[in-house]
Amino acid sequence: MLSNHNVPAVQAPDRRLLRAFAFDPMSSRLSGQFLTVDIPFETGLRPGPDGELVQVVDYDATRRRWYHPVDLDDPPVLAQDGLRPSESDPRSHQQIVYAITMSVIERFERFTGRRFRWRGDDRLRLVPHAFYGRNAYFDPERRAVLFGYYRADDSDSQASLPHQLMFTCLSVDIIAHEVTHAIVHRLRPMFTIATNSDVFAFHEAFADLVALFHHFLFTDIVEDFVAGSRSELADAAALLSLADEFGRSTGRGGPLRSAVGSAPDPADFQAAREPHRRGAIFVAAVFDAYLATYRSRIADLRRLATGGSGVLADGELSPDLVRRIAAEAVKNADRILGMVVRGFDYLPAVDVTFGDVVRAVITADRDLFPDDSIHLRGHLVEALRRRGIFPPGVVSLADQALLWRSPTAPLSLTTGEATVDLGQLILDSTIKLDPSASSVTAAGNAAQARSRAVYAQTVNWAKAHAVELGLDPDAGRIRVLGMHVGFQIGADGQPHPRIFIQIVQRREDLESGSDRDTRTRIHAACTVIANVDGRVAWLVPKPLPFTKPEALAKLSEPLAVHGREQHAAGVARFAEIREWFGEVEDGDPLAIWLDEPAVGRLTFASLHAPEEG
Amino acid sequence: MSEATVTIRMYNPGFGDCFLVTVADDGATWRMLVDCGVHSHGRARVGDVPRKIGDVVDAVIGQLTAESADGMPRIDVVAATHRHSDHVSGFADDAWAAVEVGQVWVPFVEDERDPDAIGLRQGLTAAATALQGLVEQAAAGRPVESLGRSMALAMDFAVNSGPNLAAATRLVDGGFKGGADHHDVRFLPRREAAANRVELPVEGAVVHVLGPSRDPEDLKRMDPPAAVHWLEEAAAENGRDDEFDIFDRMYEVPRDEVSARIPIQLVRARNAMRLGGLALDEEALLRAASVLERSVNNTSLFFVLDVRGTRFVFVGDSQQGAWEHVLGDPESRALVTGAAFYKVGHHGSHNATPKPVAHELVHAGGVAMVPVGTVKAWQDSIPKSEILEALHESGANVIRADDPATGAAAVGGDGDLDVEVGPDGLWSEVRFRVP
Repeated sequence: MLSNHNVPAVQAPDRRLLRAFAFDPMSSRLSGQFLTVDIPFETGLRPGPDGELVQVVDYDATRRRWYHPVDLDDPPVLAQDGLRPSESDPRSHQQIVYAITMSVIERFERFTGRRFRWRGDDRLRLVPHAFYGRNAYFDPERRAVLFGYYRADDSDSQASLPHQLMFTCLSVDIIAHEVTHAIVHRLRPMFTIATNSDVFAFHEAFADLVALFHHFLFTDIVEDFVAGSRSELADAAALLSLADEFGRSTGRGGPLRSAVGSAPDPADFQAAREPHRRGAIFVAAVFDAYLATYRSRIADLRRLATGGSGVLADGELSPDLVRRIAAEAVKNADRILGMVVRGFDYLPAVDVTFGDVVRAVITADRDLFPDDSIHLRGHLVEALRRRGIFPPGVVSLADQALLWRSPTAPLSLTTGEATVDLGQLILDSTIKLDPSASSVTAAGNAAQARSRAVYAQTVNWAKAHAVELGLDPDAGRIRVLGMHVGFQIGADGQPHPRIFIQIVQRREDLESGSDRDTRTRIHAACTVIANVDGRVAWLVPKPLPFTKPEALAKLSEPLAVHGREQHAAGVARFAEIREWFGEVEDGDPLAIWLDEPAVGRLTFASLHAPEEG
Repeated sequence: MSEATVTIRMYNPGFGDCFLVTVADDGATWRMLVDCGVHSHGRARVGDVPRKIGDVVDAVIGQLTAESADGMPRIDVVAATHRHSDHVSGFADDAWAAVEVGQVWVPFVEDERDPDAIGLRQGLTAAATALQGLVEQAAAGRPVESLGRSMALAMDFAVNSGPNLAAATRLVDGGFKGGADHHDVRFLPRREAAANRVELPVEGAVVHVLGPSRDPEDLKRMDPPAAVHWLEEAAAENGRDDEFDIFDRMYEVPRDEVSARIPIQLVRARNAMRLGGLALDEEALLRAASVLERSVNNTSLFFVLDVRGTRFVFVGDSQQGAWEHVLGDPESRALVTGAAFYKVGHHGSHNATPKPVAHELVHAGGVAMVPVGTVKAWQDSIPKSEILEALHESGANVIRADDPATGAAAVGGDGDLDVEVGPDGLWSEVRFRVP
């Protein structure tokens, strides 16, 4: 590419810097700040931008016209960290959605210890001016994030001019939020089926969490807030005011802003039914844990700065102190978010609840940081407890009680009845880790064939151990929804490779409705977490009632008992699903008029649409 | 005191409500008409001919004339539960000008001087108008049905919720015999609780008006301000000149240069996304329309006729939300449960009769009447079989307007109940005797 200009060729850089608003045009105007987003340098990035993971398609469906796509490899653009963000130049909008999306994806890759790819190596489409409307949402059908634009009215206090156009694609918060929806959908496609009130609430909460913590990725911004806060450092006013910027200019995130930093009350979470509200309480709890960690991590700096008195001298904070404190704020934001994101691979494949999220995060963190030496896990469990979020039925909040379940008897992917050839899977995952090996050359057709063989073996393995996994050996087809190796870095600084498998079983016999394509699907599922030697460490089952529970008696003793427990849990879960479907049906004004189940009408677009607010 | 009778005649205009209620004892007779309308898609059929709402109006007036000593049609109260066409369209008929009416009861939402109602009513009208405009714009002169089921349904909601001017004028501005001075319009419920307990001339007979709620929280739920806002905004923007630019022209790709300027893979991505459908988000439109429909349903008059302790419950089309207001108050709850008669809400749809109380509403041997004419598109959901089954299981006799004979046969000669069916199934009637 660029190397054509010089002989001998100059190697392409590793990173690309691009500017964006901090965090939208309005707040940027007030602060005079832009973000400089630091993302991997994609070679061969085409105008759009059109890269390996995302494709910006700037077509306006309301006005039926195209806007010229930006070429980020144009030397004048490269030479100044991208275009200067401007509301009036659509190319800078394209640049901003591309830059923020890539930075969110990279953060995910770092936390989960593997290369991120969309399903089938497809690309996520970003449409920065998709339609006229006060909305922006991820559309799984179109595999796209669609951003609307709208005219400000009297209720939009943030607009500097009456009736000016507002672009949702210029808000860093909205981009990060919507792209996170897309990532969650990639990792857990079944979370678009709302089988309980938490499924969409989790989608929302996770998207908000990532977007909120994205504010703490930019050291210079955090430094400004720390320097400007001038209050007692221990109350973390700087962090709270930076969090308070979240979504403010775009009319989004109201429930979140009011929850973050509020006094915790365990009853709130139990009482909250509405997805945004429940999600906001979860995010607020994670933020509490962040503040607690931050306070304990800057205690030494505070003592140094105040001579042990805890009282700061008058005047400006020393720039050195500001830098050190901001660095702690940024580092610990990364730690806390990292802890939650790492838990993702430990989530069930369907029907997630916030209780499951707590277990997943704790189990993942304990796998990597058994000692919890900086008390991150302790802070999080305590913060969640104070806001009433813990799995139902746990007897204690000690790690042991919150961990996922180990198999009743030793279980392995590589020994016993049906085995899986993990070697190929591990090799292919390792090759993909090398950034210079593009997915096409590294995987190739042979790799695809290998991967299909491994999937088939895994299905057979799951069938052979169905009861152990909480699946019904006599009901619907068992399939592998996803399988990968993650190389997460543990307390010892070493990568800890783990195999994550999502197994699902659709139970058409339990579904209601005549059309099998449009009715709400019901799945049993199990997430299997194994060491690379094949030994299964954890099982995360989501059982449903067995079709032949009496057949369990024929099994050997520990498995028969386990099977009966899974059946009983399945009966209870199925009853809860039915009750929830009824509740959604009752609340849906369209349920009367249409045959399709109301749960199917819960979509990201409807959740984000303003008219429901 | 002499035995009283309560006679309830349910007419069958199709998908719509029309009930004539007569309370009488030796000393006095009191008559009330509850609603008179039909949905534009749901007219009843007599043989192959759709029944006109005018036929129902004529039958009601004929009955009033026949019962009148001097041959002049006369009625004590006309109640219009809410403004939907399937409850009021019949009042547009000029035949009503000959009928003497004592009082008209309408929900307070229709009161132009009620500060609680002004914004709400304007909002509902604005939303219905904007919605209708949006669908018509999308249709661009073609029949609305050609846009598909969602848009046709949205249009139904818009038309149903829109101003039924002729009917509203007659009800509120005095379109019955003698004009405005001759009958008294009551906007109910009133703020003062005492005014919501209406004594009738028959001894021991009283009407309790329980809804719509005036609670600000409930009002907010009836008022879909965000939906209105959204619809109006969308209508305004849709009507704007298409050539209006959001960016300087130099950033736009001229239409004839698209193939030269836009990389083919981006054009393919655009095509694959079928972005055309986004210009008017049909799902969002339909959702907003259904919120509007429900909002209007929840403005329904909700009242209980109590004759010496025997209770008759009329709920209009109150849906979830409106019911919660009534069930949340212990006294109101006691009035609506264990009744002798229940006018099944919203043609028997699922969230117009709360499932948890469906078993308790009517006492064993009582009657539930379902004003319903099957509309093909909704036949699986309206009426909802679970609701009718729950009523049936609790021992109630369920009578459907579109199948009066079956209902009558089931009641048979059951104790204190007399059942009668009109010619061509035009009406079915139950008579209760109250000691």
